[in-house]
Amino acid sequence: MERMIIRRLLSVPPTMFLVVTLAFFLMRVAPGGPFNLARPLDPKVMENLQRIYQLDQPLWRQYLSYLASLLHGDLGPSFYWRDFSVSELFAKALPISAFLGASALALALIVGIAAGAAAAMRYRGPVDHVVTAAASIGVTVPNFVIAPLMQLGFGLSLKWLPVGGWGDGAPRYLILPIITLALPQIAAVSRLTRAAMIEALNSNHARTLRAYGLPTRVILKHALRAALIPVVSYIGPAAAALMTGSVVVENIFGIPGVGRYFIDGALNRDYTLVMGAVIVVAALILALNLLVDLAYAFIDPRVRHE
Amino acid sequence: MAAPLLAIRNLKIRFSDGRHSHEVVRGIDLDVAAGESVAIVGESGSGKSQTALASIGLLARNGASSGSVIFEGGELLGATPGALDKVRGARITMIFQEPMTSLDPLFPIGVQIAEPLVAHGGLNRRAARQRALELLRLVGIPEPEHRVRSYPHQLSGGQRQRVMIAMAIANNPVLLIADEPTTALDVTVQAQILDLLRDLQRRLNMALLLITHDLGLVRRYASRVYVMRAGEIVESGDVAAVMANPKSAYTRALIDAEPAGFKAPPPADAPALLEACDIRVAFALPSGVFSKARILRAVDGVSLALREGQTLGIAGESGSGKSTLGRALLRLTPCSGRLLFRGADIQRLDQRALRPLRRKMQLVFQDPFGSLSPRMSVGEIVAEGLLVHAPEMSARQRDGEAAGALAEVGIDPEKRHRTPNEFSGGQRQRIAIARAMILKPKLVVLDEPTSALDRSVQKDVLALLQKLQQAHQLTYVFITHDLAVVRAMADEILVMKDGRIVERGATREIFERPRQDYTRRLIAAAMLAA
Amino acid sequence: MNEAAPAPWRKALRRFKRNPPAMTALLALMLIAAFCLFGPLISPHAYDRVYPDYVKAPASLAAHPSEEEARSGLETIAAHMHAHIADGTLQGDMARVTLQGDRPIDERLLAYFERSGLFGKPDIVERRDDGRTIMVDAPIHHVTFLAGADSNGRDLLVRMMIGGRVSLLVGALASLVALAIGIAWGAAAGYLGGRVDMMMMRIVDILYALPFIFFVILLIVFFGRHFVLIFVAIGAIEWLDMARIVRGQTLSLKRQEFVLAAEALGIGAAGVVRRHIVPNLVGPVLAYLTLLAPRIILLESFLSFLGLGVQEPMTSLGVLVSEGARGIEDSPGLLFFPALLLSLMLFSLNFVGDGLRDALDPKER
Repeated sequence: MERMIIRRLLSVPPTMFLVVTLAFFLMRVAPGGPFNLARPLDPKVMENLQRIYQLDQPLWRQYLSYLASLLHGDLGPSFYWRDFSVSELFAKALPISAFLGASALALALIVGIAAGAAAAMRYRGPVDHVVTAAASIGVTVPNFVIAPLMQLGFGLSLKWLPVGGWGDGAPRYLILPIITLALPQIAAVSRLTRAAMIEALNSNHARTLRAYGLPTRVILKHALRAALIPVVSYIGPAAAALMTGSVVVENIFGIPGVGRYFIDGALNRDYTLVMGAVIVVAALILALNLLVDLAYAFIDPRVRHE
Repeated sequence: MAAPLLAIRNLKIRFSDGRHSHEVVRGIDLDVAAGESVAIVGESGSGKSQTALASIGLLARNGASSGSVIFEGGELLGATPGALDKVRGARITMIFQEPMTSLDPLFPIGVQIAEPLVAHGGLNRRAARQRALELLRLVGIPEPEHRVRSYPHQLSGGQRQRVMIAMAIANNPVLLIADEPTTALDVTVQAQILDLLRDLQRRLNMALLLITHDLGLVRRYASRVYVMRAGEIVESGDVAAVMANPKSAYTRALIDAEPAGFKAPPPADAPALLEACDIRVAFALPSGVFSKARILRAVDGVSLALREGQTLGIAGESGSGKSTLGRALLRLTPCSGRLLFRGADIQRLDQRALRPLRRKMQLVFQDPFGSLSPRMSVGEIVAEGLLVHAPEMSARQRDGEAAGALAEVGIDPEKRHRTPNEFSGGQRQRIAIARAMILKPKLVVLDEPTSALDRSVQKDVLALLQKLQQAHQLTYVFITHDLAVVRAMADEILVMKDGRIVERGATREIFERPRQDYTRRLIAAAMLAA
Repeated sequence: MNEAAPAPWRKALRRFKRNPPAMTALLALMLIAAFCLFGPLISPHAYDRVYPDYVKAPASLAAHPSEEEARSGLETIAAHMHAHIADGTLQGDMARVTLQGDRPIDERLLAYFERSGLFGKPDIVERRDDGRTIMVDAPIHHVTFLAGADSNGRDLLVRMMIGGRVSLLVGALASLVALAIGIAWGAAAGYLGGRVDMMMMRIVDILYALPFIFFVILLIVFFGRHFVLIFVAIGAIEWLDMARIVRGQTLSLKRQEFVLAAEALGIGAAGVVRRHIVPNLVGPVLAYLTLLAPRIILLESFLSFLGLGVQEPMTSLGVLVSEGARGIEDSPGLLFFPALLLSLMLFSLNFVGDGLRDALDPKER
């Protein structure tokens, strides 16, 4: 078990390394980037870039100093927001996005597992049909269609919730974004859970449980544990999907999170900002995947003993 | 006479899948008295398992049953799940064929054994755990305090079945239903498990309903037997009486299907066909970053000599290395050691040089479902070898050869455009044989060719193999775990265990005067009719 | 009798035909494809034709210009011509207009009639007062906007068709890219096995977890918005699942005894791959392909929505939805129609894919 943890830990640095190196070289070749400029840059930006990249040094030195500044948490100056560094911008934005994403994930897991389990228990019944249909819709309809519909419905027509904006960070600004973000994942998780539970309920060991007259709650306990395995495996990709989704949701609802900065940066050709976002997001996802792997070993003893 | 413990009357079971439905059990009557051991014997598709499942309400969703199943005075068929749950696991328990999938891989065995104790015995968790320990001891699991925390995948097949038995007797049931309890286990383990069941039966005064396809088990462990075929009971009665004087033609055929006869050794001057000297096959097991690489010696120094016209039997349990040896002899698995085929050294040849020789040495596999390519027509499958070994043949000629080969093994050549899934297991095995025979080999390695087939089908396939051997002067290497089969088919036997040959000799010698302990145990466990 | 028994393909086809949702979806898909591919040829509108007078016109079957629009249009024209409308009658396809100005009207300015998009070239019927008053007959250009017009005054319906074309095109091309990379990677990993397989799949696992979309956007930011780049980038994200599926299939096929049996017959690697592995790969790959296409279309829409996809005046469904979302308060139709088309397209593809997967699954024993 310890061996497995160490093995997983060891695989993280190479990936980050890859991401970071890619980022470095992409920056160098990007047309319009700091290295291929037709016009000179803003002197303040140049100054900051110089600090990080040591532009007059040989390439390998630049790379090393880039790595060094990364390790210090210095992601460089924002090209667009002249007065700020990327790290400063993210320090404000990251907690917001993280909260949004974590809440959406929690919501997706709770509602998705419950719905999937309910559908599986009442296989081919009305509950099952409703859940399956809803899940199909949730997986197919893009979130940038759902979001405006939500805004229209809850924000403008019913006037229950604000249409967008962050305001003071009060909870009511978060409800619609979190729900919109969570919906496709609720659909995906419920589908996964349903399929896994149906398989578990039809399996040979479920038959054994029934043959021994064990009460439904015991059978459910066993089936849920088995169904958790594919769901836990899905958390990694789910988190990635949530990150992707957050870009749209933050955009539409006007939430000042990492995703919004990322898109604004993309449209403004703010290279360092975009780069920084990629690195931060990659790091988060890798950390999450590590946790997921550990959780997986916790649930499935066969993995523990391999 | 006391009322029977279990009385099944006119049980009918029907499965439907929307538009079609078919009846798998067509009205059977069956009794089990208290403390009795009754067997239901039949081949696959006879409906014997479904009978048991239906009796305790475990039929699949698309199945419907009618009739009556009276247990201890109460009607089980159609009872509410609540009523059934009181009976199942407490008064009637069941153990299944595949212990690996019957236990939940995610929970320790102690927890799983405790569950029926808590649900039916009213014990709290601690008391249930204690009782679980006792039960493990009762079923012969060593070091139960340690084992109780293990997970199913950490136990062997035999141990898992013992755990299932522990669960089954936990609440002192009056009836234990055992559905093919030992079919998935090794021969020596089979005997142990069944002896354990018989022992427990006596101790707990429990009735046993044994469902099996194996007449040997019936002879040894049951006092009464019902013979089922295609959903009907064709004969029933005391085991001794039925076995000695079967009234139904089907029963007679079943008994006759036990492999009988023997093979005469080839003449003394028959030339040597294959010589193998010190064959070794080793696999490196995947190693982690920090663990040492482990080596599995599948075949650990085996030497043998085959003469033309011989059938060499290689007998052993799973993991003995017999299949690996078979493949190594044909150089389908890399091995070290000397290999001479008709005097020529084939060990040194690379795959390309080996190819023309392959014509002479063929292999028939165990699994009739997996060994035929699902999307090719049967004719193409049979003729495929000709593409390599007779490239001058036109497509029409190949087709003609394929038709001929199929006819020889008893498959209607008109059906050669069909895909394998349209044939039964026995037919597929014949097709696999045709595929080997079309190249007119000299040596055929048969790796458990009939183990996946019903006894009656097996008999026909074995007869076919014998006929072909005579007709084409073939030499066979017959690999099997089934001692009855190897006794009937081979003239010389090698007994393998853990990659090594434990004993070798002429068939008669091995069976009448086994020298090694392991051989003796194997033969005893095989429960062969005298 | 020597009948050729139905090949597995034909059996699969039959199974598919018996699947009502799948068949309905297939029909819907074909209708949508026809709509998008041939629609613009029939439509009277060009997808980039701007009608400044019809900005945000709602969807309707009634023809434009309405009387009000015509009059308002005439006012504008007259203003351009430094005159005013003395009298105007609208009758069917003709408008008889009397223009009056303080000074003689420059007849070259009559070009404003055509430029407006509401009228055609006017014929001068009468001139009076030294040209200060002219009476013209102008044919009225009737147009219908079945789905309304967007915020630039372009016909939404034809733009939806063009957008649909782009989505389908990207779906098809990017799928092929994903297919090519995925099959090559997966088959190699599966067939070579061992360490190579482990390494290749580890890479897939790592990439799978990263939000690749970020990388795509990165690429787009750095290298500009070329149409080709977009679908190569999208295909480069989506190959991962394909690789996984192909590798899984290859591995299980390799272990199957019929592969070993072929080797025992003396068949070489090429023959084994050709006769035994590839035919058994086609089924799952095909089924997955139809499930991949909607994901890709979705991804492209996503990029377009964010403004990183196709460039103006070319459009895609994502762009249309994005524009529609912005104007949701006063013209919900701008969101509704393209969103409906997009959802229908995705639904149909999903159902066809599910149907194919069920049909090709050889679970018959």
